Amino acid sequence: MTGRVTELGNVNRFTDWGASARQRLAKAEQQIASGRRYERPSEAPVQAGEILASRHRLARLEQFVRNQTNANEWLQTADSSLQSGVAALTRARTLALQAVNASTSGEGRDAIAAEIRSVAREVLALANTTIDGRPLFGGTTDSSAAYDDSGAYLGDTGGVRRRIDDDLTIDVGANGPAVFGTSNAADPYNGSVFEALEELAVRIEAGDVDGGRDGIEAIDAAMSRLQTELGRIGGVGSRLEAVAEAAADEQVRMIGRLSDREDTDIAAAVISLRSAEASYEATLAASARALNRSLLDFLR
Amino acid sequence: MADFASLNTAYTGLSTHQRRIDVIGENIANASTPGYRRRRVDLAAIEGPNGIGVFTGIDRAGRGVEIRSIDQVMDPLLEAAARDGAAHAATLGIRTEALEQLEAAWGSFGDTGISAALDALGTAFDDLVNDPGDLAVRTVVLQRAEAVADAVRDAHAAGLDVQRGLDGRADTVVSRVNDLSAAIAATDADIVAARAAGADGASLEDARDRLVDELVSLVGGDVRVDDDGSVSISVDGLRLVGDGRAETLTVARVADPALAVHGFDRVEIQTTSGRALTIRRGDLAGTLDGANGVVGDQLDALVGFTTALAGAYNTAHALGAGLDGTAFRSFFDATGGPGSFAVHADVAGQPERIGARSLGEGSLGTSVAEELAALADDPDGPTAAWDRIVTELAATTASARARSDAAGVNAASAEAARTAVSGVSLDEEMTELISAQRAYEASARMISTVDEMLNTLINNTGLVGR
Repeated sequence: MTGRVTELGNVNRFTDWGASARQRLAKAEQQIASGRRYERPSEAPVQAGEILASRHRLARLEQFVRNQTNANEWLQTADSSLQSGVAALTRARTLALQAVNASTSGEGRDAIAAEIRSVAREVLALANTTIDGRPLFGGTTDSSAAYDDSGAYLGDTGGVRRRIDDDLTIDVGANGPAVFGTSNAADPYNGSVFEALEELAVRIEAGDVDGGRDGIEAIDAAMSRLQTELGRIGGVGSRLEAVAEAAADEQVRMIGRLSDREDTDIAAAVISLRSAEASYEATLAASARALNRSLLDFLR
Repeated sequence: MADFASLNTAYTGLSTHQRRIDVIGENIANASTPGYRRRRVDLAAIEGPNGIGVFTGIDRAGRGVEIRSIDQVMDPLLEAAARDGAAHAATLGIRTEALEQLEAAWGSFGDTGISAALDALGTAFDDLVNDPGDLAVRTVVLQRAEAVADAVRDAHAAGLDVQRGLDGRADTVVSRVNDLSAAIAATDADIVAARAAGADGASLEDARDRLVDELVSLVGGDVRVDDDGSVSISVDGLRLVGDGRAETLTVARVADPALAVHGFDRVEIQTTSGRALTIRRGDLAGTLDGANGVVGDQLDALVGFTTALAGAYNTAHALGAGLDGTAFRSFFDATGGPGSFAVHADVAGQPERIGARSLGEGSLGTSVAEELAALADDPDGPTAAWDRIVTELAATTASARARSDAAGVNAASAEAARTAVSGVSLDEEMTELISAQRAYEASARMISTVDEMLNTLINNTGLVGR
């Protein structure tokens, strides 16, 4: 029964075929014009999930890169401050050695003491280094300096952290007491570096050779604290570098992944456009021929 | 041959084949009329008197040909299948359309909408960690949070738009259904009258059946043709059309606790006596499913999402102290549902109140901001929850579309099968035309032959040997 070919059936059939061929053509055209493989998530629910995940990951990676850049600024600033601090303390040590030398005169010792005090001020200025308006060695304080002019610590012991990867947070700030020593008014040589330098200057002025020698030991201890912090920063910095490299790699990979899933494969789309065109034309041609033919053409 | 009965026999041939040619003409004229069913002339030989009586039994020849009936060619099974296929395709089509509209509003590949807004908010919190004291950075956090709230409210509004569209559609469809039922009942009355008068009601039946096709594609229903030629259509036990009368359907809005939370009523189809009808097929079934089911389900998901979103941010933020040192503030306000989702009044417009540090920390501590930033890539967090809603909606839409496409193909092939039986084939008609024309010519020749025979008998009898 279904073998009968009828006029209306022909018309319906060719209309449907033409429409579906036209649809395929439109789809291929849209893929090429928009550059997007899919218009809506429902065209490919699984890929949609992957695309969403990739895009979120990219947003996170971009932010990690920003965090890494920011962390790097903090570490660089801390590094240069601490290097200068070490240089200043080295100078103070040389001066102290001169002062404890028996041949140094009273005026000479006064001059050395004055210079040691200027070194102390220099170190204080370095300890007050700021970044983004925040004191680098002040922990999480909102005051504008880590130390006041007398060398008293204004900051706190809170850590400044940067999240540089999924499960990796690094400390970029350093708190003052850990680097410059904890204040100890009763025993200045075991106190902060500022107290130690002041005590040293006072002892040198007084011509106290033994006190001067103790002072050199105190400077050595302060220097080793700076060196330790420099070492820590160096370690964190190299970790940061490794993570940053990995993040940059992953960014490139993610962009590629996203593009693989989301962007039109132009070569494939052009081929499918060609084939859709060909099938559309063939459908039209077939319809035109078939609809023209009937017994009528062959009857006189 | 008892008499010149063959003259009459030839005459029945002439008139019958002329009628056949008329019918072929009608078929050809309507070759591409939608809903037209080809007519077929049912021929039968007129039986001669046959041999039971004493004087019979000699002459067994027939008395010619007659038209027993002119039928519309149709297969009731295929008719029903085509209607049912169209109704099913319409149901799934509307459901798919509703899902597609929602998806157009909600679904994105993460570059727009809630998904992108949440990413941006996470980024802003990270910047807050990097610079917790900066008011400009805090203001950006608030702006991004506003963008999230806007996106949530937009999604909710889009869902309601889809629902309103479908709600209005139910009215349109039902009014069309009522028009069609009335038209079918009126046409049926004409058909019954025509049949009673012995006239040919075939064109009326074609027209009526086209109306029935449309009605069934809108509302489903069982169609039965009665002996008098009228149809009766019943939907969920209601005789929508029958005995020349049509029932009127009405659209009612009934309060439903499950939908009331979203601020709209359930759309229900009722009889004039107020009984609720269950519509299972057709356009209307899809419209109701969309308005009452699809949109409600998706809005439920949106409500769950906004509650979880506000919960996650508020729980983390409550532990955070603002620059003024006060903690226990909320961040998002979801108490009014997704329709009035907003940044909480605790912090809205007051960037210094965003809690970045915990109470135990120094004033520029960031442990709370770190928690808030980490929500963006928490696999159990709001971003992941929204992704699940989007991908689930995508999967639902995709499978609805696949089902709808399959139903469309089925409907098309059922329609093709119906057309293959009932449609006009010009080749067939041409062949028939030749056959009818030849039969007509032969009958005419028959008459002239009998005429010659009569001539021989009347004019030449008795002239033998002359």
